[in-house]
Amino acid sequence: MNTLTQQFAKNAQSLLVFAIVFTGLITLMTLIKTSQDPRQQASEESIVFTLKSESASTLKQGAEFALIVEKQPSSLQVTAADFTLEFDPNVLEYTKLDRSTKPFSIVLMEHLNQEAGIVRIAVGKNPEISGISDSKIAVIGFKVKNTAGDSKIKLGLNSQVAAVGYQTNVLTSSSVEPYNFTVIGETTTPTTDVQMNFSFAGTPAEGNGQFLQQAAKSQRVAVSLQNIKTGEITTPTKMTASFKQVATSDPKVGIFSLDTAWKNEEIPTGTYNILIKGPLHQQIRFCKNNQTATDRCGLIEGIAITAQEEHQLEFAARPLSCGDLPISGTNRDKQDGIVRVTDYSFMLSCLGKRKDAACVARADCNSDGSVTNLDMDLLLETLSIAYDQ
Amino acid sequence: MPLPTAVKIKGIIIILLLLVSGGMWMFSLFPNNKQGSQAQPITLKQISDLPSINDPQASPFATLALLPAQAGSLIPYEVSVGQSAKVNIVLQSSLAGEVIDGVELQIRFDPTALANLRLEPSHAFSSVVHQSVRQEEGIITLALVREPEEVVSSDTNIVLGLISFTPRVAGETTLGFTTAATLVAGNQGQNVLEQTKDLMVQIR
Repeated sequence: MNTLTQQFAKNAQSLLVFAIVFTGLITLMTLIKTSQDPRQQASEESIVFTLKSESASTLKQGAEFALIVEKQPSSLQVTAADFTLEFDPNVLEYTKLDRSTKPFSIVLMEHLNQEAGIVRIAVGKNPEISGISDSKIAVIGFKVKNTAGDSKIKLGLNSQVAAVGYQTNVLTSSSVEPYNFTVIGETTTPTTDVQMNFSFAGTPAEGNGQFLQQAAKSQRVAVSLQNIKTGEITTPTKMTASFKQVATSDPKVGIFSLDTAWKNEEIPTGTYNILIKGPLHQQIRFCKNNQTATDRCGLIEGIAITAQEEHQLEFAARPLSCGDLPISGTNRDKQDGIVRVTDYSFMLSCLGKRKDAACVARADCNSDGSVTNLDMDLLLETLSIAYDQ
Repeated sequence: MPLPTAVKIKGIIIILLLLVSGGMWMFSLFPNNKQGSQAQPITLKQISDLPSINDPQASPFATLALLPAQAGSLIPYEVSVGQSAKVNIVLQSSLAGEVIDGVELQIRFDPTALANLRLEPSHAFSSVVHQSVRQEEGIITLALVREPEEVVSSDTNIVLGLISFTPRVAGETTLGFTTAATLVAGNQGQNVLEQTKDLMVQIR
């Protein structure tokens, strides 16, 4: 028995020794693979410049922009950089080197050959400034000439960078991606601008602006134009309109105005219906300026819109009718384009929970903060005439 | 003879090593303990800008049917040329106790086959929002809603209105609902209409 036990112990020891040796071998191989001379590693990885700009990559003619030269990795301790940038002289004009770029604020060289489209810049680190790991090397200004098209700025292959502890160039110029951009012509296409005032039925309650909830003073509306001759309708543009004042005449409604005029570059001169739809409202077709609630639109009646001109239209006297509540779709947050008894049914259900957030968001037509009989009256009024339209 | 303590410790270490190795090996074989089970698809719910309505989707339970007004009449409804006939618009339900908030419907008929169409809404709903008969176009429309304090429940068959007409020529015609323009509203603004039943009319 003792012999067997001792034999087992010996075997266990052998296995343990084998495991230790095996682990040691694996560790050694891992070390050989990963542990290298730091200088060699640095030399292999070296640094790379990045050319970028905080401006958009689409530039207008005459625009000025700054090209930022950065290094990667930022941890490498660079002391000086001598590099050239090549650009299309027909597209760009070199303007200046930002001499306040820290820590490389000492300019050793700034040589421009505009005709060839080459600028050579050499900068050194200000010894008094720490933060050597900053990634920014230089900021260079350019001005776009009057030549539209795609262009780029690239780093010259003879560029060099000196770093602490290295006697050779640590910059890999060949792998630097050029900075690509597009020059577009000045926007000369004039737009057709349509600004309009309009109102929402029953808003504010009792014609008193104090009953208008603060959040409701900015409303989203969809605006589109229908060409009477061709029948073509522009895609509805979702726009924001803000409360301006309460109308002095009856109905005392809140006048809203588009925050920015409806603009279109392509719409031709013609006669148009203007369609406006509120967030809890039926879409209303306006066929005349200063249209009133009693006006009826004839088939060929419309508003004259002249292309590339500004128009100011007044629609407040025909308030947008309450209806078409946003209760459709999976999330029950979409309008279905029709005023129906389902809208009434929803509002009816809200009368028992007037301040419920889901109800107020969908059925508070007069924006007074609760769903009441006032809203119900507004909806019934719309419903009663909706079937005739 | 008891084993020396050192040997015991070495043995324990070896067993532990074996256990750890075995565990890692098993882990490498079965990295995902749910492997083999059916992967569950991820459902992304679209986030709404509006607060959600705390209300489940209603199962449609209502049926709108056109039935002969005279009790005991067979379907198809047999009528004679020149003889006045009457048809009820009936709201039926497969669920009792549900509140109906309103109904809107459109019925189409052949104006060359049926004349003198009239629509008489019932008092099932106290508010008639709209009613019209367009004889030339062959369209009847009706929209009814309940008042806030009123209760219209789906417990029984509800007659919404009575259509009367006079057949013009012998033959077969249909009084039928336009489904796109017909709905029954309930359950916080949902359409609870399950089906419509048209009526075949045989004119002798």
